[in-house]
Amino acid sequence: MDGFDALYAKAKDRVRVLSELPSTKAGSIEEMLEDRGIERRDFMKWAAAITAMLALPSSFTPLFAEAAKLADRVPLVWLHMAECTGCSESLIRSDAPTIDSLIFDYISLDYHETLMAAAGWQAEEILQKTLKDNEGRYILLVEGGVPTANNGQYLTLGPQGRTGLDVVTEAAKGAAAIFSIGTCSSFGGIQAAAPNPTGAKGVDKVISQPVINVPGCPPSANNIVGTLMHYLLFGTLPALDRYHRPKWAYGNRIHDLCERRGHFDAGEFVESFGDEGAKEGWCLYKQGCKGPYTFNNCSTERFNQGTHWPIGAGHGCMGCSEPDFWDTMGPLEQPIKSHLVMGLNSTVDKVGTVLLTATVVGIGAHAVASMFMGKKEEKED
Amino acid sequence: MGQTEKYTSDHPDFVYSSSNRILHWIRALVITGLIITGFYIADPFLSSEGSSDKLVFAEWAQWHFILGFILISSGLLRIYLFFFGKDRDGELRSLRDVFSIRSWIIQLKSYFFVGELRKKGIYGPLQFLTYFAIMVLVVVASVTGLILYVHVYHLGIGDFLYEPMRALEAWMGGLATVRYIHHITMWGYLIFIPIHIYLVIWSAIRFKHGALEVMFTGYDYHLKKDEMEEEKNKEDDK
Ligand code: HEM
Ligand code: SF4
Ligand code: SF4
Repeated sequence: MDGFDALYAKAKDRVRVLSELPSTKAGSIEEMLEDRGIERRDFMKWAAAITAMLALPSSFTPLFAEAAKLADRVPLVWLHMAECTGCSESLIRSDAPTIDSLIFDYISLDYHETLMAAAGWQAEEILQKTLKDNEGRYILLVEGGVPTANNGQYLTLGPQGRTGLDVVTEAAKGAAAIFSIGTCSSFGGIQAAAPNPTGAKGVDKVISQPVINVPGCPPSANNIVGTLMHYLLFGTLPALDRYHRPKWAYGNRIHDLCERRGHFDAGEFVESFGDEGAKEGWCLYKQGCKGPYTFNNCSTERFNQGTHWPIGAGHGCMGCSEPDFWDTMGPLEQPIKSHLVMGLNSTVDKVGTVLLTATVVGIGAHAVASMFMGKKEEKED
Repeated sequence: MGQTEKYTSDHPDFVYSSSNRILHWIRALVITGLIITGFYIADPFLSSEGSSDKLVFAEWAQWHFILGFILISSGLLRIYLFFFGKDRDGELRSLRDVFSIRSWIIQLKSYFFVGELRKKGIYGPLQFLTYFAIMVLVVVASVTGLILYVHVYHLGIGDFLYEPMRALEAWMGGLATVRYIHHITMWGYLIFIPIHIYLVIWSAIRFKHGALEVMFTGYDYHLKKDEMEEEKNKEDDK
C-alpha cells in the first residue's frame, strides 16, 4: 500500500483513541442501525463509497466503518445563522432514511435547532451545557452567514436575544474543528450580495480559528458527510484549496467532469430551453451555465441520494459554491455578454458597444473637423 | 536605409529598431486573432457540424491559446526591450514629456488643431500613457488568460503554473471574476485599436511625417522641418 502506510497507521491510532472515549449515547450506533433495518452489507457498501469519494484505497473501508460506529464519541454542535436551512435539508431529506442521515440524526442531537425538541430557555441551556461539558472535543458546524453590521444586531437568537456573531464566537472557542456548511457560512451567501446591508460575512471572517468551508447552495449530503467522516477518521484537516474547501470535493470544476462536456467541445449548444438541443442533452453554456468557473463535485456525487443534479436535469450550473457568486456570476441563465456592470444597470457588452460607438463617432467628428481645418490652412500657406 | 531623398525628407529620424517593429506587427496580428477567437469563446456564434467528433469549439479555443502564448512571449520580449533594447533612450526620454504639464498642453492642443506636436522622446505624453496602458492591458490579458488556461490544460505549463495561478485567482476574487476581467480586456482593445489607427494616419497627414512608415522601415521623415523652422524663426526675428 505504497504511500498510504503512514496515513493508515494514523487512522488506526485515531480509531483506538475514539473507542476509548465515552459514548454520548445510551445505545451504540451499530445497534441503532440494526434496529432501523440497515444490514451490515449495506453499511459496508456505504463505508466503501465514502472511502472512494475521499480518493483513498479500499483498504481504508474497514477503518471508515469503525470510525462511523464511533461517531457518537464526538459531539456535534450545529448552529443556524442567517440562512434558509436548505443545507440541513440537503442532508436529512431523502425518500427513506439513508445511513448518512441516520448516523447524523443520532449523533447530532446535542444541539441542532431544527432537529432538537427543546426550544427557548431550554435550548439555550443545552447549548451552554454542551459547550461546557465537551470543551475542546466537539465539532462545530455552522449554517448561514454572520451579519456583522450594527454589531451583528441584524441577527438575534434565542430567549436572551444574543447576536449570531456573539453565539458563533463563543461556540468557536472550545471547538475541536469548525466546519462552515453551505455557501452562506463559507462566504456570506445571498445576504452578502451587493450592497450587503447587514454586513453578512463567512464564519472564517469573524473568528480567528481555522475553518473548513463546505460551500454549495446547498452542499450535497456527500460533501457534508465526507468532510465529517474525514475528520472523524484522521482527526486533522483535509487538504484544502485557497478558499479552505476540501480538495477531494472542490478540486475540479463542474465543467471538468460534466456529462455534457463533449457537446461543449463540439460546439453543440442549447440555444433556448426546450429546443432540439435541449432534448438531446447538449451543453448549456449559452444558457449561462457557470460550470467552467465553479469548483465542486456535483457531477459525480450528485444530489437526492445520488440520483441527479442540476445540469443533468437540463439547467446550467449557477456557480453556487464559489465566493460571491450572486455578484460575480449573475445573471443566472445568461451568458457573459449579459453580465451586469455594477452601478450602471446595464450589461458589459452593451457598455462596450456604447463606448465603441462613441469612439467611432468621435473619430468621425475629428476627421471631418480636420478636413475643414486642413483646407483653411492650405489656403493660408 | 538606402538613399535619403533630399526633397521630401531632409530630416530622417531612426525611431524603431527592427525587433521592435517586428514585435509590433506580431502583436497586431495576434491581438486581432485573439479578439476574434475570444469573442467566439464568449459567444459561440458557429455551432456544431452535426457530429460530436468535430470539435468546433475546442478548435477555436485551441487557436486562442496558441495565439495567447505568442502574445505572452512577444509581450515579455517587448517589456525587456523597453528597458534594455536599442530604442530605450528615445523611449525613456519620453518619460520627461509625461511628467511635463507643458508637453501635455502642447499635445492636447495639437489634437485640436492648435500648434504642432513637439516631443523630447519618440512619444508625446498622451501617446506614452496610452501605449503604457495598452502594455498593461497585454499583461492583464496574459495573466487572466493563463489563470483560465491552467484549468483547461492540466499538464505541461498548465501543471507548472497551476498553484501560482490559483493563488492569483483567489486574489482576484474567484475564477468568474478572472473571466470577467479577461472579457473586459477584449473591449479595451476593441476601443483602443480604432483610435490608434486613426491617430497614426491623422498625425501623418496633419504633421506631414512618416507616422505609418516608421513601423515598417524604422525611419520617420519630417517634411523639410528644419528649413520650415528656420524660415519661421527668421520671420519671428523681424
Ligand atoms: C489580446 C489579448 C486577449 C484577448 C482580447 C482575449 C479575449 C478573450 C475572450 C473575449 C475570451 C472569452 C471570455 C469569456 O468567456 O467571456 C477569452 C477566453 C480565454 N482566453 Fe483569452 N484573450 C486574450 C489573451 C489571452 C491569453 C494571452 C491567454 C493565455 C493563454 C488567453 C487564454 C484564454 C482562455 C484559457 C480562455 C477561456 C477559454 C475557455 O473558457 O475554454 N487569452 N479570451
Ligand atoms: S453544461 Fe456547463 S459544465 Fe457542462 S459542459 Fe456545458 S458549460 Fe460545461
Ligand atoms: S451544479 Fe453548480 S449551482 Fe448546481 S449545486 Fe452544483 S455547484 Fe451549485
